Amino acid sequence: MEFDEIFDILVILSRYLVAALAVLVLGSCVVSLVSRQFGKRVGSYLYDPGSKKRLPLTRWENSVGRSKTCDVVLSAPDVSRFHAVISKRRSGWVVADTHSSTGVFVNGDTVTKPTPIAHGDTVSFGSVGFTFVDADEDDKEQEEREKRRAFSRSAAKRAAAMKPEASFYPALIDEAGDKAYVITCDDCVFGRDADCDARLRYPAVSAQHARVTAQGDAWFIEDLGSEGGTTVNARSIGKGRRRLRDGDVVGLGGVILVFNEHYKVKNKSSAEGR
Amino acid sequence: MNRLAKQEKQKTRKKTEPFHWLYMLLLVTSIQIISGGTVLTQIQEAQTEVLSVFGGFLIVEWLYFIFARNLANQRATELEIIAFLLSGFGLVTVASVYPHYALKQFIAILIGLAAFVILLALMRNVEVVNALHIPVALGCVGLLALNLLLAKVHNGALNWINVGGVSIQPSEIVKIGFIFVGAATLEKLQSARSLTSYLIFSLGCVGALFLMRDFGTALIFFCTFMVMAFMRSGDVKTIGLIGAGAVLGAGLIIYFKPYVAKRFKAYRHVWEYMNDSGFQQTRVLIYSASGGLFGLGVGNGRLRKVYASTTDLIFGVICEEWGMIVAFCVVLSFAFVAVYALRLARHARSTVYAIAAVASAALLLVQLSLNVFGVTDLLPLTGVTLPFISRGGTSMICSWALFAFIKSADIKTYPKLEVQMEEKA
Repeated sequence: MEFDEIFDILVILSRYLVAALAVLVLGSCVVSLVSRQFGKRVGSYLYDPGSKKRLPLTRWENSVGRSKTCDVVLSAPDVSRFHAVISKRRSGWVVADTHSSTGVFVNGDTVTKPTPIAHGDTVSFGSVGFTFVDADEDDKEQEEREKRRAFSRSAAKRAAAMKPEASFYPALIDEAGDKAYVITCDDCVFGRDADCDARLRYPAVSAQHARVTAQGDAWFIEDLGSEGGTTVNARSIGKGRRRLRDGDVVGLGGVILVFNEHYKVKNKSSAEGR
Repeated sequence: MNRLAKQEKQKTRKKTEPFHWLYMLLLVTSIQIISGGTVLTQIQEAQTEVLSVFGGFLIVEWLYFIFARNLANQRATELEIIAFLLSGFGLVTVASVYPHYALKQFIAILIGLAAFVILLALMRNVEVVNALHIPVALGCVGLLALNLLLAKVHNGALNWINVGGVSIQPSEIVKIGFIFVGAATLEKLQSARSLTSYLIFSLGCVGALFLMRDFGTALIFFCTFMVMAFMRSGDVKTIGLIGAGAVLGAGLIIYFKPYVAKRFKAYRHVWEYMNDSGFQQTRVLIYSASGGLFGLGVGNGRLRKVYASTTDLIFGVICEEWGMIVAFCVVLSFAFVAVYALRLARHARSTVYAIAAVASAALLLVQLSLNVFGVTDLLPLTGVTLPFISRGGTSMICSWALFAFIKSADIKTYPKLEVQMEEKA
């Protein structure tokens, strides 16, 4: 066989080879595409307190309206077909009215231009209202709750282990001395919320007002961005942390309490219960 | 512990990446070496130049993948595989017909790749896209106006301008801007009224293309506009109204300007005009059929001698010299890209990405259809290029840029964002 003949065979073979390889490349790409998994990521959501339904906002821009093509479909008659858009920007979430007939409201204020919305804000589309839940903030709150529960459990265990001292706990006692808020964990949140470790049922006290934490033998107090603010010995503590000493006077939004580092509790169970 | 973690990692990788990128790249490189080698044995002139161009192309391809995988941490590179496969087919076909044009085509691929990377970086921040959409829209209108003022008639159309000895086709660059502007919706999403400004911009573009007598590109723009308008507004009635208006407008143009219809007189009657206005279509049909499944081999075709064999008729050349299987692979590559874009759009984090990806895929599909069905007389021959494959710098740059829009919809393109989102999920 001469060189020319071998060359011709090689050229013919190359045509078959190119075709086969092209099919192989395309086939590989198709298999890659088919096996690719796209998880649906749910971020923030609109919470309907009435029906307790969560309407997820899965994209950076979510259209809200009566039309079935919207990302969030609301079937109420006073909601326009394309009512609004809730979008995530670098600065946070914003809501914009897309020429709806009944308007968009954030905490009761009419939306005329893209308006920022924060975690817990009430967003209304016509007469349909929702609480906006920001995934980031929600996660943080969840983490905080978990952390506090874990601290409570460990503090309770430690208290049980230290039997002789078990009857003495630090506490914040009200002015009249008839109510004591006993601190049973290393990280105790004071506030009006039912979730708080120490619940103060006063309107001047914020939902989550202040936090008392232990660091070694010392106790510290910090404000949790409350409306009424936190004072120690009549001085505002601002955003910082302040050490508490026995006898210090603590003000939580006008509610005056005295810090007692060794408050005597009749028995352990009553201390945990308070 | 480490071993178990490694095994778990490998399992996950196999699930998400069934084929290793190196395997895919080796396959593509093999195609390019074999086809390039065949071209080198066939051409009679500029062999050293063509050899350098092929070598340069392979080096650029490998460098891109090494950079993308290891430095930019890209985990989904199927689109680039397709882009390099098609660009490679284009380069070898052009080099086999016009060896001296290989370098120009290679430079166009390089610029296209640069445009691809720059656009990907730009698309990372949707707020930047939104902020830039008005300057880009003004730039597009300005470019088309400049085209109308400066361009000279070429093949019956007024769509080429000469800048410093380099001929460019502004309408190809405007395609990139057209999608960029249309995708920047953000808060104006799903509002039929917000379409007005985009409708005016699109009418301006399509009108200018009509004045240039570039009907093929005008049709591509119109179809892309329809897709984008639907994705922006979600309103079928508005889209129907615009479509009806466009059909009425086209009817009026044909009625008052009969020369437009005359340009397409050979459509569906190419055999009656086989030595006149149907010459190219009839030759494509005859020679493509003679290519069979595996083609006649590079340099053995006859279509290469017909006018515009490396631009409008390049699909015919591939059918004849490379065979029907390769030609089908080319067409299916675009179908793959379209399905890929649709899947990405459904899971895209922002509508900007979803609209850009679907509109780009639609544009590429329409252009491919006009080219392939045009030369085979299933649609009127409008003289549009075959993306990535036809000879032409601006067309190549535009094709790469459109792929960037599709790739930007993939969360895997931006690994840092992906990590943040997965943490949240």
